[in-house]
Amino acid sequence: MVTVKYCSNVVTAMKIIDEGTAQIVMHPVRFKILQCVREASGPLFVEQIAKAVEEHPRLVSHHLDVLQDIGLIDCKYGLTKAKGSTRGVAVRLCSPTPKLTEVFHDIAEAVAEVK
Amino acid sequence: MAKITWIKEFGKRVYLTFKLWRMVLISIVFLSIVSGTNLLFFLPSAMRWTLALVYVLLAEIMVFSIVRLITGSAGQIISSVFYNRKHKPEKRYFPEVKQIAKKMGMEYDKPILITENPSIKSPFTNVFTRNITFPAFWIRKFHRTENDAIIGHELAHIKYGLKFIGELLLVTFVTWGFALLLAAITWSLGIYVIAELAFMMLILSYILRRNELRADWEGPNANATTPEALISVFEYLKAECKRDDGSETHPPLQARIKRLIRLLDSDRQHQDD
Repeated sequence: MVTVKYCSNVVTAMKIIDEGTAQIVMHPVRFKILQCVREASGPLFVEQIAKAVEEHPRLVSHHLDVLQDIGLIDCKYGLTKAKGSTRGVAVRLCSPTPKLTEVFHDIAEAVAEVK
Repeated sequence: MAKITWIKEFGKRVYLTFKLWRMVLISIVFLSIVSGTNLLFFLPSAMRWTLALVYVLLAEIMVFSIVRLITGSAGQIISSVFYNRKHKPEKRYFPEVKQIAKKMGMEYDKPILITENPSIKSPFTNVFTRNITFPAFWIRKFHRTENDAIIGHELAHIKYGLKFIGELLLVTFVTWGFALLLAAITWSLGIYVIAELAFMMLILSYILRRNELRADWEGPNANATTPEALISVFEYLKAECKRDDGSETHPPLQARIKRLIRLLDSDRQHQDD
């Protein structure tokens, strides 16, 4: 798996890759969300991601909408046991798509170019 | 050389940090009144000279900030006027604009001007012509929903345009009143002019910043745009700039984000109820 750290080089690389998807991915919060989703062993739901990236759940939800719109993550509604409830709660489960791996590969290449 | 860099950095910090900058303006007004009423002549000579030096330094910082204000915000409008003569901006109709405007309780049927002008770094509104100008790279940079949120922000500037012009007129009258008062007590024309400018900048900066916060609030408050989208834009811009100190016209991005997050929390509480 290609690992990319969000740093000033990434911001510089962003200026090189003048393409819609890369520009949208280079948002600091979105970048953290994508890394979180990529590194997770299974699908994650909004509250879990919000906790991991330390952002407001509604803000995370907005970013997930954007990322789903450009096809970087796949969202499905499923039942899970959340917040200690015994019954299943309907949550939005997010998992990475193959396009995400490609985009991260491109960014890694662009960062290497900047370095 | 290292010493000069340190002094430069210190000067930048004093100038950029708004609270200190506001203190600079307040000090100028205070010192002008003290000097103007001849209180200065009762002080020992060394103290008088020190005060004079401090006064000159503060005045320089203020003049620098006025130049920045003109070349910054007003400069964008002036630059676009000259640039648009040679390179006509693309006029693009966005169907969302009309809907957002309607939700915000106003009519707006104009196209958005998309410019390639390199000196335009962010979207802006000309309150007099009611035109919204976007730099071309901005449209590519953000998602559709985020561009909508920015349009909502700009539309709020148009909605409160008349009120804003009224506030500017009020500033002119208040400053004029202060100038008259100062003219009666001040013996030096230099002090009179500098104090008048400092007083004007103090009120103007407050009004401009409040205008921005009102525009941030207006779109989400009318349910025309989402606060999440606007927060997202601010977070992106915050990551791009090295220091987030705000300017004479705009509050720091972190403060604007915090204010919008409060709106998210209040909405959430409302939904839970």
